[in-house]
Amino acid sequence: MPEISRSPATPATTSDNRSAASARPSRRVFQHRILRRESIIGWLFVLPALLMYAIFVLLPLLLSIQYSFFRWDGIGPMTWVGLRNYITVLEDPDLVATIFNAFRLVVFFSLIPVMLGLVVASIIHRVATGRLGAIARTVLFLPQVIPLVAAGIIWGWLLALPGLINQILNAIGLTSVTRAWLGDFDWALPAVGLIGVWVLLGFCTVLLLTGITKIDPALYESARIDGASWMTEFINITVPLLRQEIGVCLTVTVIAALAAFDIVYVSTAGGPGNSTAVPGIQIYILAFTEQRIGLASALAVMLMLLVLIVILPIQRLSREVMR
Amino acid sequence: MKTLYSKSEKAFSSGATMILSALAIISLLPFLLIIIASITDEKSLIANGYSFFPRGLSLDAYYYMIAQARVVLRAYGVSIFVTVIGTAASLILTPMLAYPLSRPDFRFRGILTFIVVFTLLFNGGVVPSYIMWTKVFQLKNTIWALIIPNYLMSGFSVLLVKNYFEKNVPRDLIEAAQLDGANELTIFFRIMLPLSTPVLVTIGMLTGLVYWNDWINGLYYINDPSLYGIQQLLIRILDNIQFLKSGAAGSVIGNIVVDLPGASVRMALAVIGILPILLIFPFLQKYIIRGMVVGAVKG
Repeated sequence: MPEISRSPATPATTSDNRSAASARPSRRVFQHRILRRESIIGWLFVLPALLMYAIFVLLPLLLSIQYSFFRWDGIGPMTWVGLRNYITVLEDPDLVATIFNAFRLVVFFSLIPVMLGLVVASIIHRVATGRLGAIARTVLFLPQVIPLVAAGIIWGWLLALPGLINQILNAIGLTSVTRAWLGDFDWALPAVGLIGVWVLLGFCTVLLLTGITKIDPALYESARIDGASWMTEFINITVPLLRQEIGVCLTVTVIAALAAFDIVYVSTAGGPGNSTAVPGIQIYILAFTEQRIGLASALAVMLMLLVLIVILPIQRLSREVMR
Repeated sequence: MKTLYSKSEKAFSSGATMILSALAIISLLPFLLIIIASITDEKSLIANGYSFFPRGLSLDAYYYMIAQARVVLRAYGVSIFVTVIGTAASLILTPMLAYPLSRPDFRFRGILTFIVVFTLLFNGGVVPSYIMWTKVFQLKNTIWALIIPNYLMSGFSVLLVKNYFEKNVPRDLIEAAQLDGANELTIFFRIMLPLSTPVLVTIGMLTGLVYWNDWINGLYYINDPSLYGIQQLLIRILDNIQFLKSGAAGSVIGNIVVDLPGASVRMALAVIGILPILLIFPFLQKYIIRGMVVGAVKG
């Protein structure tokens, strides 16, 4: 894990320096003597947690892959079907559509929160270092910590036919565009996306803000002495130096979008029709209401690969520049 | 610095302040709205929809909840129990795994750390997990189904604690203790844990929050109403609405929702679910925000 210490001028996190400063001469000799005993005791410490990992995470992962090659209703005998389930996923237009929906969600869950978060964070950093900044930070972060179920109920109402959004539209004379947003075949997905923006914006803002405060203030000072505007500062200092934080934000939010389940479930449950169905929801439906365990597993494995394929380049891009 | 600000800078500053305030208000509005909705008279809710200035106020929703106190209190009890036990267990397991991983002289730390990071990105998949928990461990409709699956071990917390151990507990202290003949257990309990209270508080908060807000374990493993936590209670109510939605033409949702009885009761339930967090968050936000952000960067 790379350590963030971009600015020699600011003392990094105060506590970090304490341990690093002290010298450690005789470690190697000492280490060798106790290595054996150490390892055994180390294992004893790790064992409970590791067992749980193996049982809870790794074993199901392998089982997922195994199930994906069978046709199975969860109760009866399993029939080997080879790659048939994967072919079904790729051929069934409804299932392919869920993957496309996941990518459309990336725009709302990831691109918008990250871009908006960058702007908000740099605004807070530049003009609102005082109380307003602190309040804005807290308030923006709030949607991240409240129960998502409650958020779903709130937004279900805001976006309903008599809800606040439509009331506002009516008030400014746009009655013709009012609709039950979450029930509209074309608009349900952007509406779900809007909820995602609301939930994820605070997280991105705070994370990016933490990154900005680690940038050497002297850079901003000299930029300002040269009369740089917020825009210049933003493009030439903030964004390039926040590459790593942006990478983290993108990673977290892209996973949230591609593997979306909870936000979609509490707002539309995939409806109306299949218009907001994402793989996460579809796996749930296939497995628990249609009892097609094999197909659900195949979709799950493909989703996993998809996340991996999308995340790795982001990780590499954001880390490369740091080193 | 102030003197360096030009006129356009001032304009920018006030503009930015307005944008910030507007964003903050937009983020807050939904909360305000449900609190108001929960005290709005049911009839005026149906007649006029939602409004920040409702015609008729009423506390009926809350009286109704008091009448239903048995259900609501029980759900609260379940949520509190799950949160406390789950957080406590996780606070024991997490540092135990993090400690060896933080020691450079532990031989398998590389591969084990990789496993932890791996679980951050992937969970095992709901289907086999479900089959395992219900068939092998028989957790369905037990309180343990709300505690053990998914949240007991969080790779996120493990990495957070591991990093803290590495950076904030001086190596020399551990070595000195070893020279004095302290065994690993003593070092762990007497040195590592006491020196790491800040990070333990942080992961305790985060884990507690996760347990309190969880509804997914309930969705999968619980259909016995006596084991509903507060979030499950909400999601079941939400499910009923969605059932009606899917059964009817999509575009008339709004009407259906309003025709359902007890709209303000639902809002009151949502308020009750959010309230504890809304009250606690301002005081604990320092820990929670720092934990989430640092954890994300390190992970």
